[in-house]
Amino acid sequence: MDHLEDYIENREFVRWVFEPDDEINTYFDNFFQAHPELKEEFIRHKKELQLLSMSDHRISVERGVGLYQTIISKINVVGKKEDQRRYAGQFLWYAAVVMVSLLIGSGWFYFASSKNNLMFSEDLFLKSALYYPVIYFPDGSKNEITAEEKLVDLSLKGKIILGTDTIEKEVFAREDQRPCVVVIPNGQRLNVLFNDKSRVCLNSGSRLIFPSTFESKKREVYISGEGFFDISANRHKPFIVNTSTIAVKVLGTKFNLSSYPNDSEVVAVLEEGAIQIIDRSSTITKVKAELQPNQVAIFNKESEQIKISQADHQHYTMWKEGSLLFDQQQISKMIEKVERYYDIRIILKDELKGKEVINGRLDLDAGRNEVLEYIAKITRSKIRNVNNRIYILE
Amino acid sequence: MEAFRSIYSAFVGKLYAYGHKLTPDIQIVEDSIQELFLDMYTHRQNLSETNNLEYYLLKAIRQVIFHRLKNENRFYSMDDFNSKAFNVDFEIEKNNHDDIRQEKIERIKKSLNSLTPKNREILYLKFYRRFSYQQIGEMLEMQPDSAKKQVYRVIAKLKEDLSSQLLQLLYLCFRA
Repeated sequence: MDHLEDYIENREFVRWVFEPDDEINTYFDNFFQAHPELKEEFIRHKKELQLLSMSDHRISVERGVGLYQTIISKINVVGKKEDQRRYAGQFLWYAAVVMVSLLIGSGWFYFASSKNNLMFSEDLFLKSALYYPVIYFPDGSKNEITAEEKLVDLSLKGKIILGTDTIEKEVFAREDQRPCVVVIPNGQRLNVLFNDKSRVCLNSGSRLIFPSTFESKKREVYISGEGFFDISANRHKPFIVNTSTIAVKVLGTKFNLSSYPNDSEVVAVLEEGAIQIIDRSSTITKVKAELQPNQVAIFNKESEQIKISQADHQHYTMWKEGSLLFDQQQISKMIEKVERYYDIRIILKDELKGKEVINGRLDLDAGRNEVLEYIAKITRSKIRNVNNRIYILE
Repeated sequence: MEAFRSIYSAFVGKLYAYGHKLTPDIQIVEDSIQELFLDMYTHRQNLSETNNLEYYLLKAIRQVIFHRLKNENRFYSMDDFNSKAFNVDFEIEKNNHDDIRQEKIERIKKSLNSLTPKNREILYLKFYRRFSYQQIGEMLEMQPDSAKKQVYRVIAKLKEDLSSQLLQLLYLCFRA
C-alpha cells in the first residue's frame, strides 16, 4: 500500500500520527522490527500526514478536577438520597466501565517519577467519597471511616487504626507502588497520623495522596483542599507538601495550607518553625518565599504572584476547632467555607451582598441552623429551606 | 460513582478539546460539559448500551453547545452551526517547519487556509477522533460519502502540493 489514501483508513496509523502515546509507539516499534522494510515508507507518510496537525486546547488538571467537583456537588444535592435506592440502574455503568478501562489502558500514575517529583493522574485524584472519609490503599482496597473519632493512624507497624477499629495490614513501602489516597467529602474532617509521627488534620472537601510509609530521602505528599500540618522534625528528610501550583517544604513545623481547585488562591500560613514556598512549575527547585511564624503567603493562581503579609495564624487554623475567624473577608468566601463544612448549598440571591466584607468569629459548632440564621442576619435576607441541603437567601 | 468518575476522567479532556473548537467561550464549554454529565447521571437508567462511548459523548456535547449558542443567538440554525462553528488552526499555519522547503510549506498553508470550518471539523473527527465516515455523517448531518470525498480531496491536494515541485520543474523544461 503505497498510497497515503490507504494509510489514512488504518486507525492505528492515524493514531500514531496524530495522537501518539506509549502504547501505540510500542506497537509500531514492534511492527518495524518485524517489517523493517516498511519503516521508511511509514515514516514518510507520517511526516506528510502530520502537515495536517491541528492546534489543541487542553484542560488543565486543576480545571478538570474543579469541574468534576462542581458536577459531583450538584449530583449530591439532587441525588444523595436516591443514590442508594438506585442500585439496579448501575449495571449499565459497569458495562461502560469495562470499556473505559480498556480505553484508559495503561494510563495509570507514577508516585515517584524519574524527576523525583510527585506525580498524579486525574484518575487518582478523582477517587470519591460520598458520606464518610475514605482511605484507598495501595493494594486497591478501601475503607470508610465511619466512627465518631475521625482518625487514620498509620504510625504502628503491621496495623492501621481507622477511627476506633484496628485492621491488620502490612502496607508495603516501595516507591514505585501506588500511593494511599484519602478523600474527605464535604461536611467531614479527618486526622491522619503518619509513620514518622507527623500529623495532618484535613478539612472538608479535601484529598491527600501520600506513600504508606516515608522511606526515601524526602517525605512527600500531595494535597488538594485544606490541611493543618504538624510535621515531626527530621533535618535529613524534608517534608514536602505539593499542590497543583506551589509546594511547601519544611523540616519540622506547624502550618496550614489551603488549595481548593475552585479557589483562585493558594494560602499558606505558618504557626511555628519555618517553611519554604517552592515553585512547582519549573523543573529546578526554585524557592519563591520563606515564611516566619504568623506570616501568610497568598499565591494567585492566575498571575502566579505571591504576596506575603503578617497575620494571626489563628485566622486560618481555627477551622479544626470548629470555628472560623474572619479578618476583612468577603461574605461569599465565608459562605463557601460554611457550605463545605456542613455539606450544603447556600444560594445568595443578591450577589452584591456577597462582596461585603466582614470581621469576627463564627462558631460552626453552634450548629447549622444557628450559623444559617447568622448569615441571613448579616446579609439582611430571609432563609428559604429548599430540601435540607439547599438554602436560598433572598 | 466509580464508573461515573472513570468516564469523566477518560473523556473530559477530549470533550474540552472538541468543545473549545466549537466555541472559544470557555465558560460555555465548561457549562456544557457539566450539563452533559449531570444529564447522563440523571438519566443513567435510560441510557442505551453503546459500544462507542466517545462517539456518543462528542455527539452529545456538540448538541449541548449548539443549543447554548443558539439561545444566545450566536447561530440561528443547526445548518448555520454545522457550516461555521468549528474553528481550528493547523499547526502549519503557526509554526515554521524546517524539514521541508519553505516554498512547499507556503503552498500547503495556502491550500489549508482555504478549508471551511466544516472541512476542518471533518478532518478533526477523522484524524483525531478516528470516527468512521458513517459517524461523521451522522454527526454533521451529511452523507457519509460526501464526508469521505472531502477527506480525500484534502489528501489529494496535499499530495499535489508536496509533489508539484517536480511538475514545476517539468513545466520549466518544456518552456525552455
